[in-house]
Amino acid sequence: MSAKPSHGPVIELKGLTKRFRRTLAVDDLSLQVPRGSTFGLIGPNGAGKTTTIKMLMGMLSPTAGRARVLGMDVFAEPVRVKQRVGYVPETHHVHRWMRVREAIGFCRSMYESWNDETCRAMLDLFALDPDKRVKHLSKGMLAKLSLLLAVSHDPDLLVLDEPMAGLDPLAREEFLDGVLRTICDRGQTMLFSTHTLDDVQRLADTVGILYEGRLLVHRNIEELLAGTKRIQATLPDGCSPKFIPPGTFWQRVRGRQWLVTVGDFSPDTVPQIREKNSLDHVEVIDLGLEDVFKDLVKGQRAAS
Amino acid sequence: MSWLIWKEYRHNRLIMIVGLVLLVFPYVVAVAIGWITALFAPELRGELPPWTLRMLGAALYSMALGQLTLGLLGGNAIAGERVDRSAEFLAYLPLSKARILSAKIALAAATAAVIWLLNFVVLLALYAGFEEGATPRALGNAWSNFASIATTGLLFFSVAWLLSSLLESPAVSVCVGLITPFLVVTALVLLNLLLAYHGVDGRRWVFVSYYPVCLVLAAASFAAGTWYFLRRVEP
Repeated sequence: MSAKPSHGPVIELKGLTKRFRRTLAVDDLSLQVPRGSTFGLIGPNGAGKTTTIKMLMGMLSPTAGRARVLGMDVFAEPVRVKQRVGYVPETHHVHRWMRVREAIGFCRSMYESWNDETCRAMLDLFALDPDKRVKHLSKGMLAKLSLLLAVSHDPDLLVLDEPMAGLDPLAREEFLDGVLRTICDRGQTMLFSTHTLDDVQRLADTVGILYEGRLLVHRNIEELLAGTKRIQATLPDGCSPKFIPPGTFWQRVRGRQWLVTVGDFSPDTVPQIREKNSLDHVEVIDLGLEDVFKDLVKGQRAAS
Repeated sequence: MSWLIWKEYRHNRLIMIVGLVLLVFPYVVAVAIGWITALFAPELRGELPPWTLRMLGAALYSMALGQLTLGLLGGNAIAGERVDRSAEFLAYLPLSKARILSAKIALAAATAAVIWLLNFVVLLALYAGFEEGATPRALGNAWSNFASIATTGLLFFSVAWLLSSLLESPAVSVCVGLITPFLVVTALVLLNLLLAYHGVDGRRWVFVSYYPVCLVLAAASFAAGTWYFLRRVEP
């Protein structure tokens, strides 16, 4: 085992590209996730989130670029990387014929740093029956088993790929409790992808928005929300906007109403557009992550 | 490694059970024929082949049926875990592909050893029961039959293994594995006919070449399947 690097990003992707025949799934993706941070990867269906995560886990070969985790090349040293990473996929593939305790024993034999205490604590937290077969577990219980197997070796990095898709609200809550417990107790670095933006706002400190394989945004959530505003303005009769503020994600004109979402909002933005567009009325609206995401994607779709 | 071998056994348990039935069934039939005849038709006992020949037949049938188990194991080895997607589970564990493969090979080798050794020992015991020169002709031929069945089994396994490494369908892998020896025989027969058409008597060497052709094909298929699995990044 190599010594844990004390500095440097835990995840480092450089020009990562994946092409499936004619489809460009991930396009020249570069990204760094620092130690101890929680990174939420979001994007519409088919944006390339799972493909990116699979390449990060060394389960899919890239067409170009490189991926390093904890300072190690994931394709050159896959076993060493996986010793220190916990992964929960969208669909849980634990052998269905295994009993819970057999799945635990099987994984335990693979990891050098398996922690029985963590495993027992998670088993109790999730109330998993060790004698139950995997095929008899509900979707929620299976997700919890997957999380237990992913965190019981005290990984330095936890990667979750839409692990809560299809779970009922109670199972989601219990799963999130397990995740929060892991992050809070050990200060692990986490990368997760999800469609539930409330979870991202709750868990992540940094967010990345993928669209058609490209990383459109990679920012601290608070900064992103503070710097992204929707401006609702009323245009003079028969006029269209003459000046579009820099950093505009998306805009729509309906009648006299002009809606524009600006990514680089500053105190100068409103005076600038007032001055150049002779607007009757201007209102600045704060946005949640979901609105920012929707406007960004709508803007991209309109542009393409 | 023991957990991996246990996982392999458990993953192939149905095949192992079928294999055990195929292995034992011919012997059960051979013994049952003797008992049933003795119990219900004692007047026919004289018409039955001697028990040594019944056991010889059982050993060769058991050996032949046992090779199907090897074909099933080869075809299910890699593709079986792709089709139920448990290969992805293994892919995110800190396991080298070589370790995964070693467990699969260990299980197949152990299974082949049981099938071959059991029937080999039975043949040896039957052979030992006769004095030199008094061995029945059928028993004398048994060794060459044993060798050709074992060679066929190797080809079943190796071709199924190659296909299993390339595809996601265990069924296709097994079927291609089982068909291959028949394709080899067909090719040799056609070659013989072609030679005969040109006035060359190739019967002797054409049929003797079944062994090396099968062994070379088996070795090449096994090596190619192993190489492809090891270098493939995807599960």
